[in-house]
Amino acid sequence: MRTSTNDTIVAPATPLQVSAIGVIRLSGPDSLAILRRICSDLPERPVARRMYLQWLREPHRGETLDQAQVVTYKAPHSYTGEDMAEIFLHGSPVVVRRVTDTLIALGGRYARPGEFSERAVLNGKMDLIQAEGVNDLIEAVSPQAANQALLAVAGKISQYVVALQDKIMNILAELYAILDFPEDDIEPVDITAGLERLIRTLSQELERFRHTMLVKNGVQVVIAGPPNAGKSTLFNRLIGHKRTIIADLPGTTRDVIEERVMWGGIPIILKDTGGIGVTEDVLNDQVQQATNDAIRAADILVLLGDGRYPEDIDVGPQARKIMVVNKADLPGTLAQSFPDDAILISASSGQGLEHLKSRILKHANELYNLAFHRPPIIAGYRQYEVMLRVYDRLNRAVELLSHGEPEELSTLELEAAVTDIGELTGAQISEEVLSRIFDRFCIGK
Amino acid sequence: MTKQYDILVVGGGHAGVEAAMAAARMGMDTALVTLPGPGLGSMPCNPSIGGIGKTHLVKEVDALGGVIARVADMAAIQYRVLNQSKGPAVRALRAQCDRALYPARMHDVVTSHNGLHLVYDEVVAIITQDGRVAGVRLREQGEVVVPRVIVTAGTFMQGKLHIGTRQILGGRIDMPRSEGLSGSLAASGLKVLRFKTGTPPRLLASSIDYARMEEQPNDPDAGHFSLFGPGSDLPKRSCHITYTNQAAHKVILDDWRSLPLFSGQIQGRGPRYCPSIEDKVVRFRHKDRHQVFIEPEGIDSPIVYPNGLATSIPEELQERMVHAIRGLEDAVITRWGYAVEYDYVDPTELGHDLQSRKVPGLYLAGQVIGTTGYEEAAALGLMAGINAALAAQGRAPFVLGRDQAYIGILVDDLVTRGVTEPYRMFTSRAEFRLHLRTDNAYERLSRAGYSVGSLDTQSFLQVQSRTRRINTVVTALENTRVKPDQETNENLKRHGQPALRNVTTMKELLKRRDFDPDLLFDVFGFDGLKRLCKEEAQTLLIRVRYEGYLLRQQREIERFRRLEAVRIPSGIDYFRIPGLSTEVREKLMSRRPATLGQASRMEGITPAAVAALFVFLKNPSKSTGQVQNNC
Repeated sequence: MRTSTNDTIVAPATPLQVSAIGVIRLSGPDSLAILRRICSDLPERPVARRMYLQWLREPHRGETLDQAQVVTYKAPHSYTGEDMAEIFLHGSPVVVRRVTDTLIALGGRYARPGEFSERAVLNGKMDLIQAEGVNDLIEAVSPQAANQALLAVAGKISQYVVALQDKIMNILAELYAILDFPEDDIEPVDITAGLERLIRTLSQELERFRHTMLVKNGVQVVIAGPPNAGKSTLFNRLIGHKRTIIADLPGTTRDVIEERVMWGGIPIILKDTGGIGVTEDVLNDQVQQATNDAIRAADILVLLGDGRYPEDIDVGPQARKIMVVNKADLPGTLAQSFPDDAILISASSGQGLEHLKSRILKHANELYNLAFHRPPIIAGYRQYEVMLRVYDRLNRAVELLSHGEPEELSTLELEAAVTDIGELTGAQISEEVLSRIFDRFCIGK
Repeated sequence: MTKQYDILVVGGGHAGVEAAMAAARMGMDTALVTLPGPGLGSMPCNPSIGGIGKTHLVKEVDALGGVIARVADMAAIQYRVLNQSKGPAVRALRAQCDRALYPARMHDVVTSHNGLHLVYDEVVAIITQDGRVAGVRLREQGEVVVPRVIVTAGTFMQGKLHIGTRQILGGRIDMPRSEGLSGSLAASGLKVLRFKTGTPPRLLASSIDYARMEEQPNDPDAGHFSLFGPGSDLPKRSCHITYTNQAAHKVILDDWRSLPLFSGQIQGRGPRYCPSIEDKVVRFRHKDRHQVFIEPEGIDSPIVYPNGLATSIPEELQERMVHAIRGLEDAVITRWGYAVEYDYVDPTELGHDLQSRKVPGLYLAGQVIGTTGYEEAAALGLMAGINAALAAQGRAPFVLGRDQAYIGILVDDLVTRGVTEPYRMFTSRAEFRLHLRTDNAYERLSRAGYSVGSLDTQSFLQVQSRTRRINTVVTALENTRVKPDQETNENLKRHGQPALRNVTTMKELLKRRDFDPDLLFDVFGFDGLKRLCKEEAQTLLIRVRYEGYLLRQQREIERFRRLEAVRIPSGIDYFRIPGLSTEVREKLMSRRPATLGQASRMEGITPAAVAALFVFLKNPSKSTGQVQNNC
């Protein structure tokens, strides 16, 4: 779709800092006309996407601004889908600011934050997921996050969700045929089986995303065990300084204490928890609750104790467990029997700590590689939430069909799923989509 | 002759009679101009009313005071419930009607109404003055002065019939076509296009071997259409089902390229879901049979209608095809099947009040704006009649939303999206299917019908007491509690129901899966449901059992209304809105959607364009600021 936006926007595309090059972008119908005012010898019809070396001059006073490379784009073949121009200046903040001011004096308007992407979306050059991807790419703080954002920018995520939407619509069409043409002998199709196939692949994607997010924020290593097992001593040892109070009393630690460490390039969140089990403490219920929550969220659970795994501990499905027997320096401890894979340490003397640490690191490494072996299709919590909703709806549709409930109820679920996906890509307009455009591009504020 | 009416309706089909009756009910001096011949509301296609999606329209027209439901009941010779095993929102009643009695009863209803003048003549031109309707010209009786005209010309405008290579000018077989009217509409600036539809050969009932077919008898428990009418008292008749076969298909496939539908002789586009038999056979070659419904044309009619065999193939092939079908080996064809091509007006020329945007005072309804089906025609006729009358009274138009009625969906689809084939209603067109049911049509619409003046007071009171009766029982269900005592639980167990654990209400019990509503009385002595008639009990059961889903749908409706509530000022200058393509601007300029929701449903309006429009509507000052900046 070609659009004609009334005005031409201008903004520096690089930060106003001393650097080798500073870039200014223009977008809108007058991009070329405005550019020409400051370029003395640009050809009558510059070839789109070709660089021209130009001396830039302020047209009224004639003062020289800079020598620069300029390039033009012809609508709709540009980022925004409009006529565009880019100027590559010497990277002086003074120069960049002066040229920008000149362009604005010549009829440009200073762009609002995100306005170039906004125009690209409004002109149909990209959908909302792609625009969000651009934003994520710019803000990416790790190569993994950048890869993820690039999938979105390339439209891979949109393709995936649109294909999913398409498959749901095909199933809906079967249901409509059953409902609207009861007297025609329509060849029966196994609708439930079709839905279950979609559910399976979607559930894998959701699982992968959860995994990635867990690891992306830091691998959660949780130290847990009965009261007075020496968890805090171990914790302090592992982080290398005295973070928590230690006392030879059960129930000394009440809150979950956490500390971020970086081991072998992997971000790790180390957590110390209150002892599992009943104590005299008035706050026992809250302590148990906090401990249980931490254990459930653990990627790696370090269980300090007698080497046995307590049955009533509720760990997440992703958790890996390491059995640790502490106080190996005390004579009574060694007299007991332990499972083969338990690690013997002495938190107070430091004995066996390197062994434990390398075991933790081994698991962390595996988790990290697993998560980033192939980036998940789903990126970001908003997409995750929508896809989770779609997943729930598909499951409900199957459940309704298998209980012999009227087909029209399952169509409701599937129609809602189609709408959810449409609103995610922005292909289906709703108030939610419009407000996302507002949030994303600071329109109308 | 120069005569003054408030409203004049062109055409006496299903759209025309509803339009004229609605206008007359609303106190308008109304003329109904029709060609002499088959009578009012005749059924040129199959002799049946209702069906999936269509029953919804019939009940809604009834709820708004229209006549189709009442007359269909008076002429019904069979009722059946379709989708009986499926959910309440897609269940539908269908009636076979006596082809002769239906128009006769319709004639009685129309002529017994004061203020409605039946005029037998042909409208050859619409007269306009200063760009709006001033009157019509009749072929025999000359000019008539009238400020509002509703055109419901059906398939009559420039009609052309096809039987094999034979082409006959006509509106139907044995009926002249309407000459001049479509030219007159085109001259007023309306876009006139061409569609095609068809009808099967008719057969002599006595020549059919019914023993070789499957019988489909009347369902005595099916109920009837109208809440207000006298119901149905005619004797009932059966339909029969047979199938085409390879031999019948071979008759068509042998030289299908020379048939009028494929040779280029027929240009107009036909409906995909009501295709001719040659279309079905050629397009779906893997199917070895197609269903044929043998529908009786009346209580004592010697003729039957073989539904499913619509065709325009040559007479000789029709004969061979029919005789190849089981039970029809010796069938005598009393009339050949034919296709009809006709002019229709692009419905996107109309506003939601069914009035032409180009020619104020001109309304169009029915098949002439690209629909198919008696029920669709009736619904549109009713709405055109109501709106013409409201305009005459200086009142605001009556527009139903997609969230309120199938009629709203019908009108909105036609005027915002237009048609590429004759438009038929389906339940899958409804976004809020569960809410738009046949059983609650009166609760949804009768108040509105009463306040515009289309539904009479007595009928409205009838609806109100029905609603009150249902509500009373719902309240009783909510307030009657049962304790989980031993006797209760033993009773429940005896009826295969799980025992109670806590105190619960009758309503919660009724919500249980597989709970027989009769148990409320049998086990607990709750007689509320016994005080309702069957239809009322049905409404109540749906309300209770689907409460969760209905509430959820209600939330979705509210969400839908938010976009629908963003009004676009009528004088908006689309060329001032940044981010719109020229094509989108021109489309919006010509259709002038009233709300952002309507704009979003227009074909060719991208989500991005809707977003740009929304941005402008929320903050037009900033956009003008940009323009100033640019100077």
